[in-house]
Amino acid sequence: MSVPQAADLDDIQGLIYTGWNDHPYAGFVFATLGGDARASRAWLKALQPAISSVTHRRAKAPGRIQVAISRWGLTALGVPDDVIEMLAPEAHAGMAARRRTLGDTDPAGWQLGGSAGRLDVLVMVYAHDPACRARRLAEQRDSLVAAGATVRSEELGWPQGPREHFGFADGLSQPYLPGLHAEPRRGEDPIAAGEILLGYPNAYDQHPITPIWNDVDLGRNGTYLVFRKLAQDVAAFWGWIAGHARKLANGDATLAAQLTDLIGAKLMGRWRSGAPLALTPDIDDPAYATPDRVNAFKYLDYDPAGLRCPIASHVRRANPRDARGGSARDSETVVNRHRILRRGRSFGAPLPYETAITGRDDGVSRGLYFVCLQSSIARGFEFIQQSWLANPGFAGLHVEPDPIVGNPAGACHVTIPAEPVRLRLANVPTVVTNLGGEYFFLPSLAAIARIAAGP
Amino acid sequence: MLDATQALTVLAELDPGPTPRALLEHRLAEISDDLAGNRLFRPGELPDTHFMRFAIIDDPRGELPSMLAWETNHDGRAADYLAAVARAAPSIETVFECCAGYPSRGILDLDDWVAWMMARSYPAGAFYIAYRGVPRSMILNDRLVHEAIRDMIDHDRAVLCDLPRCEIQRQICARVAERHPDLELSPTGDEEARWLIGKILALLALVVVLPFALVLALPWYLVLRRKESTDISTAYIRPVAIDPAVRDAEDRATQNQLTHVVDIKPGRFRFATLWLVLKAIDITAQVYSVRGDLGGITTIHFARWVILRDRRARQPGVRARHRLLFFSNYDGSWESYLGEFIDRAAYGLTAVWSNTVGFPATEHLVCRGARDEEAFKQWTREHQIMTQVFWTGAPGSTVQNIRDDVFIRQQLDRGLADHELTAWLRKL
Repeated sequence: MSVPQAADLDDIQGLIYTGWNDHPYAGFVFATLGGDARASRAWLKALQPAISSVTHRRAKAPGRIQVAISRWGLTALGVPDDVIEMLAPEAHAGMAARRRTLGDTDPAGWQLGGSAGRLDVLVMVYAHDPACRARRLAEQRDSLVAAGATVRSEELGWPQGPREHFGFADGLSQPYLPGLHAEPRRGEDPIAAGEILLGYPNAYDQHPITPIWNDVDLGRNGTYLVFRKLAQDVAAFWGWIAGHARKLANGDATLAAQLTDLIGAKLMGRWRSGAPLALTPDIDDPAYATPDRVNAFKYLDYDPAGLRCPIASHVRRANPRDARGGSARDSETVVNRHRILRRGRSFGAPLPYETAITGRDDGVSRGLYFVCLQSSIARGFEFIQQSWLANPGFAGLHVEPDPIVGNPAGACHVTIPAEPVRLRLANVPTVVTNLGGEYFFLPSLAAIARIAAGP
Repeated sequence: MLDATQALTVLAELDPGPTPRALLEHRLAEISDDLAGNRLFRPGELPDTHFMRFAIIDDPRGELPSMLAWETNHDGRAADYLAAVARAAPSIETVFECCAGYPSRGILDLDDWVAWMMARSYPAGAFYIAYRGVPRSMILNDRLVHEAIRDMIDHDRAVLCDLPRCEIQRQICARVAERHPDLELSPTGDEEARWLIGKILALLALVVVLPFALVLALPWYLVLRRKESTDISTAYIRPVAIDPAVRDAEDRATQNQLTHVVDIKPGRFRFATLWLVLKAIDITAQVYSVRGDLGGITTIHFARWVILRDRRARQPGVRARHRLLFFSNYDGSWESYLGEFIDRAAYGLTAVWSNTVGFPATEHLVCRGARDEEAFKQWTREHQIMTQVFWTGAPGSTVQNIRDDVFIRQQLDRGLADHELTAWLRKL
C-alpha cells in the first residue's frame, strides 16, 4: 500500500494527522527511565491504551496523549541493540552528537537533554483547559516515578494562538499527505506518505530502512520526532529593526513605523498577518492571509531576484518552492523531498509589539517548542536547518545565514534586494537560541504494544 | 590551454607493514591539526593551488598495498607546477619521504624528484572544473574587489540611490580604484571563443566516431543487459556504520571534500564501459559544462574520477582488482551534495558507478541505480574513506560566489546596456 488505509488510522499517533490545535493547552514531560526494564515496560503497557490515534481524535474523553521514545529509551525498555541500530543514523546518534551539523550551542549548557540528563521518553499532553492539563500531567509524572523513572523536565506551552512570539502567523505552510489528510488547501503540496511515515514508499518510491524486531516492523505507521526548545529574544529582534528603521526614516516617525514593519517582514519572508511578500510586497494586506491565498504563490513568477521576498529571508529559505534552481518543476520536485510536518507550540507570555520595538526586554523566558515529524531526519529537519537556513552560501548568497535561526554567534549580514542598489544591514543580533532537545522515535500504537511486550 | 587549471593525482605506495603507515598517518594528523602553523608542511605555501588533499588509501581486504594519494587542483602544467612546489614548499618532502622508493637525495635533486612524482601521477579519467580559465590569483583579487564594492555601497548607499544606473557604476569603479590601487579592476578577455572551438572539435569527433559506435552498440547493449540481470548489488537492511573520523572531517565549513574508493566490477567489459563513460563525461566537462553547472549541480568546485589499475604481477586464479577513485571538492553538507547527485545527476553517476561492485541495481546503464536514494547513500558511505588533510585556497567562497565575483569585476569597468546594468547592480 502506498498510502495509509482506514485500519492504519487506528494505529498512527494523532499528532501526525493534527497539531491538536483544538486543544490549546500543551504540556511535555521528559523522563529518564529506571534501570528495571520490566517496570518500564509495564508503565508503557499501561499507558498504551490512553495514546490517541488518528481515529481517536473525535473521542469525548478530555485531553490527548502522545508518546515518543528516544534510542536511549528503547535500550532502557529492553529493545536489543541490533534492532536499535536499524534506526536512522541521526536518531541513533541523538541531537547532542549532531551539534556541528546543526550549528548548535554546547550541549553542556542545555536545559533539555545534553548535560541536563538523558531523555528517554517524551509524553505529550494536549488539553482544552489548564486544569485538565495539570491533572493529566500529574498522572503522567506519577506513573513514571512509580515505574522508577526520573522526570527531567516538565514544559508548559503558552495557550496556542495563531502567532509565534515575534508576532508572525506561524505553521502556515505544511505538506499534505494523501490518505491521511482530507483535501489539501490551495498551495499545499501533496507529498509521498513515506516522506513522513515509515513503512510507505517515499519521494524516491523506496521504503526507508526501518527497525525490525523478530519480523515485526516497529517503524511502520511511525515517524521520527525532533523536539527543540528555542529561546526567542523578541526585544532584540524588533529593537534592532526599529533602530535601523529610525535611521533610514531620518526623523519621520510614521515612516519609521512603516519601515519597522517592512524590514521585519523582509527578514521573516512574510508579513505579520502571514500575507506573502511575493503577492503583496508593499503593505501587510490581510486579504492575502486567508487560508486559500496564504500559500497560493511561487517565487519565479513575480520575484526571481528577491526584490519582494529577499532570498536571505527565513521563509524563503525554509521552503524555496520553485526557486531552488533549475526549472520551476525541477525545483519543486527537489524541494518536496525536504518537507516536514511542524507541530510546534510557544512557551512564555508574549511581549507586546509596542514594547518590543523599544528594544527593552521584560526578562520573561519565551520561545518556541519546535516539534517536527519526518521519516528521515537527515533529509528533513537537518537538511533544512543546515543546507538551507544556516548555509551562508544558500542560493548564491555571500556569507549570509538565516537572520532568524541561522545566526547563533550573532553579527551576520542580511541583504534586502532593492532598486537601484540593495540595502545590506550589518550586525544582525542573535534572536533565536537553542536551549536543548532530542531526536525521538514516534512509534505506532502497535509498535508501542510490541515494545511493551518485551523480548 | 596549458595554463588552465589542471588535475594532479599522485599515488605513491607505502612500504608494507604497520610502521610506515603509522608514521605517515601521524605526520598527516599533525599537518591537519594546524594547516597554517604546523612544523612539517604548510599547504598555504603551495603556489597557484585551488584545493589539495592527502588521503591514505588502504585495501579493506589487505591484498593491495596501502597508498598515499595527493590530489591537487592547480594552475599550469604538472611538471612546471611540481618544480614550483619544490622551490616554494620543499617541506612537502616530510610527507612523501614516508613512501616506498622515495629518492635518496629527495627534493635536492629537483629533476629526479619531479620525475619520481610524475611517474606516480595518474591521469584523471574525467575532470570537472566549475570555473575553467580562472586562476587562483584572479579568484582572490576578484573577491577583494567585490568586498570593496559592497563596503562602499553600504557606506554611500543614500548618495548612490539618487543617481542614474550608469553613473552608479562609474562612481563605484572610480571610488574602488581610488581606495584600492593594488587591486586589478580591468575586464579580462571573454573565454567564449575557446569553448566554441572545443565544442566544434567535439562535434567533429562525434561525427567520426558515431558510425563505429552505432555498429558496436547493439552487441554491447545485449551483454550489458545480461550482466545487469546477474550483477549483485548490496542490500542495506541497516545503516552503514560511519567511521567517526570521517564524519568529523566533513560538514566543516562552506567547502567540503569527499574521497571514495571502490573496486571496478571484474572483467574487460565493465572496465571498457567505465573508461568510455568517463571519457564522455570528461569531454562534456571540457567543452560544455564550463560555467559552473555540471548537469544541474552548481556546487562542485573540482571533481575527478581516476582509474587505479591493479599493478600486481598476474597469477593464475587471481583476478586483477582495478579500482575507481573519486575526489570531490564541493559546497555545503554531505547530505545536500549526495541529494543533488541523486536529484539532478543520477543518470551520469549511475553510468559511472554501475560498473563498480555493490552499486544499487541498474537498468540500461543509466536507469535506477543512484535513484535508489537510501541505498546509494549507504553504498557511498560504505566506500567513502578518510581524507587526512584537506586544504582550500579560497575558503568561504562557494562556486557561485567565485563566479559572481569574477562577473562583477569583469563588468565593473565596461560600458553596459541598461538591462545589463540592472543585472550587474543586483549582483552586488
